[in-house]
Amino acid sequence: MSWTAEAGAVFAKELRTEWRTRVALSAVGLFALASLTLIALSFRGAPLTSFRSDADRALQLLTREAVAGSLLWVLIFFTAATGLGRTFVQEAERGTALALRLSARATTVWTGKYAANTLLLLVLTLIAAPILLAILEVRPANAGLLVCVLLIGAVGLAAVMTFTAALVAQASAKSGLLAALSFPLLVPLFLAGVNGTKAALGFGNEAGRWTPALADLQVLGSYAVIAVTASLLLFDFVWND
Amino acid sequence: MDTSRQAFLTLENLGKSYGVRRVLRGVSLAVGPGEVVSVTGRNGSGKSTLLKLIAGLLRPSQGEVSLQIGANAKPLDAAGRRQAVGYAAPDLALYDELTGRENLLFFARVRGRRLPDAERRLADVGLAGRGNDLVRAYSSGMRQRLRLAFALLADPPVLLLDEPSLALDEAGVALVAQTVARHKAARGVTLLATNDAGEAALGDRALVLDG
Repeated sequence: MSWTAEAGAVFAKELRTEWRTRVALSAVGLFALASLTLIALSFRGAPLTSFRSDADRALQLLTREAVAGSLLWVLIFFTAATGLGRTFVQEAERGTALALRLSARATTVWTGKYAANTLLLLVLTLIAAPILLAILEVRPANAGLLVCVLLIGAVGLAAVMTFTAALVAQASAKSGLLAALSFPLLVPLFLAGVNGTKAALGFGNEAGRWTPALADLQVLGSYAVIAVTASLLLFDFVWND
Repeated sequence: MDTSRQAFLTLENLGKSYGVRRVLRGVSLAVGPGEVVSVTGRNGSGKSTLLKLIAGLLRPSQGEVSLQIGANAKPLDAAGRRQAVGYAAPDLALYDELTGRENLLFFARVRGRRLPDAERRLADVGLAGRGNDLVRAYSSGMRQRLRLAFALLADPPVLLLDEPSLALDEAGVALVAQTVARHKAARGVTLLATNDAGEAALGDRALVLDG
């Protein structure tokens, strides 16, 4: 069987089992909902229109654009840590990992699971980001740039999370380990992601130009390529040893 | 079985330790086409570990496993061994949230087998009528039959069965005996890890592990 067909079969299996159990979907959805509700409560009673002068409103908007850039990535990171970690832990705990190891190549297992995790993360991001921005009353200066930053960032984030989840599945104390292990690896992605998001929202870039974010997009793209390549090269050692 | 797919299995001074605990040491064995070996020994003597080492699911602490498919072929590495063996064990589980049929179809797909192979195996183990039920709804005996179907899915030249009659009814026990006999007739290599005297009697010879 071809490599892509094998990875495709793993991907389809991941979607089917997730659709039937909704374990990751529920975890991710509930975490995102709780976070967004708390943020909404915090900003309740302080709409932009409540600031009297234009200068106050402009300052408030600038602050919110900066905060939104970070909050969005905090939300994405912890939601991913809540939901994506289950993928390998479940296989190890239930004993299905043995059947999978006997049947599929390590790289196709990783790729199939990675593709499913990326899809989940993208769906979450595309739903949560507009809600968060609506709560903060921030309108992106360049929606296309924002989508690009989030999309490329999610691709790199899912790669690191999927690989780290496989490492965590081998450990006896799994609770909280995924976030602790993956965060240091993700710092470069977050730096570029937050900067790129702020630029897309108009922070220091009122005209919403692409130029101020090009370096960040390059970092995000390179990070995603490195994360995927390194995971593919190293996964066999994690999965089979 | 096609002679180019006949298996030659050799274990040389094989050992496995988990930390300071030595589970297996100095196991040597040579098994050729059409042979059935019963692996027996008290609980904790390393029967399951031995089968996992042969399947390439564990890395030996000492010695080596050599599996050749075809008399003049090169020995397979651990990844190759995983593809060449059919393995069923109590700690191997299939997906609860998929049906029996979906499980076999998935593993058939990733192993590059034709889909009718999965249907055939389901019928072979007596689950054709329950193939559309979720595995979560299966009894422990039905799960064991499904494990057997999984092990046989790719027509493996080497069959590794760890306590294959566990939780099976009389018909299921007969099915295991029939499966072993069929595999032997097809010149396949079979290793059976068991503490059941009846099951051990299916072997042409026995390897007794003293732990």
